[in-house]
Amino acid sequence: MSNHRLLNLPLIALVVVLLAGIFLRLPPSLFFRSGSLYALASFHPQPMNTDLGFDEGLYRDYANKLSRFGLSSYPEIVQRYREEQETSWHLLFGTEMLAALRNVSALFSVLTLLLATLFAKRLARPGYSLGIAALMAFAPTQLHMSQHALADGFFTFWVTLVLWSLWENFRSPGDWRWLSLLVGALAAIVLTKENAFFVWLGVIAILIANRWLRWGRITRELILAVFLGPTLGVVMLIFLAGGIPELLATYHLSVTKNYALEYAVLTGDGPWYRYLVDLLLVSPLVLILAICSVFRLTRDSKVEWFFFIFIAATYAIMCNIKYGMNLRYANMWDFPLRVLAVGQLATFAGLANRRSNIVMAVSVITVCAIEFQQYIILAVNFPLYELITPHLLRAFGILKDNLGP
Amino acid sequence: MNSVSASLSFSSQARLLRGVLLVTLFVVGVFLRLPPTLFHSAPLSTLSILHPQPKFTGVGVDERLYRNYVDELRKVGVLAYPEITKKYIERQKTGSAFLPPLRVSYILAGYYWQWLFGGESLGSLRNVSALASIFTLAITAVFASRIASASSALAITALMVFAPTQIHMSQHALIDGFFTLWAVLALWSLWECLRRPSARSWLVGYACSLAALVLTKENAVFVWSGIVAIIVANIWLRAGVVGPALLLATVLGPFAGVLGLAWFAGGVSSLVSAYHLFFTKSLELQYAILKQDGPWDRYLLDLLLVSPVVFLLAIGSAANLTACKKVEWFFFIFITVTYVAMSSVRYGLNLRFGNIWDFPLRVLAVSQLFALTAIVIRWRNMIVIIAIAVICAAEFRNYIILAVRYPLYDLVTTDLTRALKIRKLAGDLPNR
Repeated sequence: MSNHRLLNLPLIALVVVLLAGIFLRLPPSLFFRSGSLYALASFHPQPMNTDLGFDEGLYRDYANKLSRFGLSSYPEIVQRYREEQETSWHLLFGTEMLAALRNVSALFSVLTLLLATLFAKRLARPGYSLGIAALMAFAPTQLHMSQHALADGFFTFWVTLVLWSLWENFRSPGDWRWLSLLVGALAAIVLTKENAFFVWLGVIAILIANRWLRWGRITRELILAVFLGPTLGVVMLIFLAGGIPELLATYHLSVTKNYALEYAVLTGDGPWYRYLVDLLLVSPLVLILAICSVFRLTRDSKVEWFFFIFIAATYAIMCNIKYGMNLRYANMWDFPLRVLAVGQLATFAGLANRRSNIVMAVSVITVCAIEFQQYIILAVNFPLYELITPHLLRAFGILKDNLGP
Repeated sequence: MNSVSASLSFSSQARLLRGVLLVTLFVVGVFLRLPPTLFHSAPLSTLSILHPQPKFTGVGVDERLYRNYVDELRKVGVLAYPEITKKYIERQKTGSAFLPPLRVSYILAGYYWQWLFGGESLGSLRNVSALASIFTLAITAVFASRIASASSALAITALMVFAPTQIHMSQHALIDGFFTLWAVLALWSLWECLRRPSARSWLVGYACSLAALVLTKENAVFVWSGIVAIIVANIWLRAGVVGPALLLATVLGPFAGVLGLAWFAGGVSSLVSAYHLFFTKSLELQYAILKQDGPWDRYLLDLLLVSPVVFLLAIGSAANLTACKKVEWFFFIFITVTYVAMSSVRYGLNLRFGNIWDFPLRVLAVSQLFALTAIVIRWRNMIVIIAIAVICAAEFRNYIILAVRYPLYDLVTTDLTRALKIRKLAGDLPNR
């Protein structure tokens, strides 16, 4: 009987961790006086920032138009976007659609947590899925994305799906189900955000590295899927934009205007290691553990290599975008970084021999507690919206303007 | 074999080249550390375009205070030093916190420099800082050759030559570079005492450097705790032999320093009240609250901002520590223990204080670099040389960005992020 209970302990812990993660990701509006979960409000860390963010306003505006005029009106929306770009950034205000977008963000953050847990389980390393699930459940940037109508958490879900389906395609070459999933996920990232290009290059880097690291067999179908997925996404984008010239013009405007955008110049600049600085501010232990893991890579660390190559390839491109550095875009590294971190924790815990399980459990709990505390400092005690360095520094009391009251 | 003591194989011709390279590096390091004022007039004015002149040319708060102390000392003489401390206590009782005159060795060094060579007090202090930084470079080069293979020592020296925080400290009348000199000397003498427990000269040097640390800055307590931690860890580490003489020197050195401080303060009670006032008032100091607050990982952040590659490699080295890497353990324990203590000081986080880690971090970084290149056999020497050259170039570029293009004075995060353009103000926008 006791043996049976002990065997189920990891499962119980996993369920508890997932429930905690889901609870933390629930939209804050559910805990308002009018919300259905008001009785639990004191347990939910409500973000201090309740204002409408810049991007949130834009997304809400697009969604409102789509809701009013239907999917067939998408080309007009794109056209309108271009006109606005050519004149000025224009905002309209409202509330209904914003709540819907925030709910979508929360839902996809929950789905990312579940997907990451499932993916970790498939990595076939004992104890990994629980550790990774726990670190993902309390990841400050994941929690933050779940509370605001920002595309980056949503994008992370599709990126995680791309990585998982790629991994599974390596393990089960030629399986049309995994191939279809990869095609679908790649199309979805293209439809979600232009950063899909970085992810796609990361996938290509993994495919090339497979020549030496041999995660699995690369079939012609896999190569085809890697190109077909984004092509499908682009075709759909063309359809939604109303034609190729419209799509090109829209992207061209978006990219060129960004160089002139005061906000981007002021907040998106910095040296190549800016993402490391931001990650160190938000999740210091996870980053340090991940770096340790990278420096301990051997030929046998296939799982770690898979995620390291993805991070390295995408990092190398993303840190070269002029005025385009923002920790929001790095949300897709949350899961890969935590895989590396848990691997390093397991290595450290392994030094404890017989007590390695206890050491591992205590270490994961400690890291989770620190991560959660970081989230409280960043988003509950401080009205954080954008994950830019000055705001992060301010939240941690490193940057102060005055002594306050 | 992947320890910092592991050697690369070179031919005799290459060994000669290595010697030439070491001398060249040292000359470059000395040149970069020369006080900027030397290049304002002949004979070095012709070389001024080669010397990275710091953009900050004003007088910093700490610089002004040290200058005032040297001026006061010139008026009253060394024997009347306790008068300066008494005056400090009186002023500190009413005003906001400012650094105490108990940083005796730096003030005395500035005073004697001026006595010997003339000039202004501030110029003397800046010259002392530059000289201390040059001495640190020389000592670390010798220390590195004692703990590491010739090739590793060369690599460590190269990294020290271009370390942004080392160069920065040499260009301003700040105490922290001077303090680093004594901290490095204490670590080196400790290492030698562990290896040669019967060598009296090393014991004397060790005790003297500990006394000098106490006479230089109150942060000596952190360095001392780091040293004690190394001695305790030696039970398992077995880097050498801890004899009674070493233990005695570890206690007597700081004790002699405290006795010296008590004399300069005019008695134990004056010493205690001066420090008490300084520490309590520091907690209310607006500058400290605004600029020196933050989480435990603030030093890591600042180190990453200033020397990203060295920082990353050092972390990698810490992750790869094994029982046989005694040198790496020695420095890792020192960094960890001092880090824990220093990051716990409220409103007392400033990368200037982390200057003592520059050498230990570079030892770890080189160790990791050698470990990384161990898998390559054929081109290993070339890869190591290129990697070190690239890191040095990146380090020097960071110094240019931080201190030549931006008027950096204090190594606080707010200024570092501004210099690196991570944080911009509306005025930073280009005119369109």
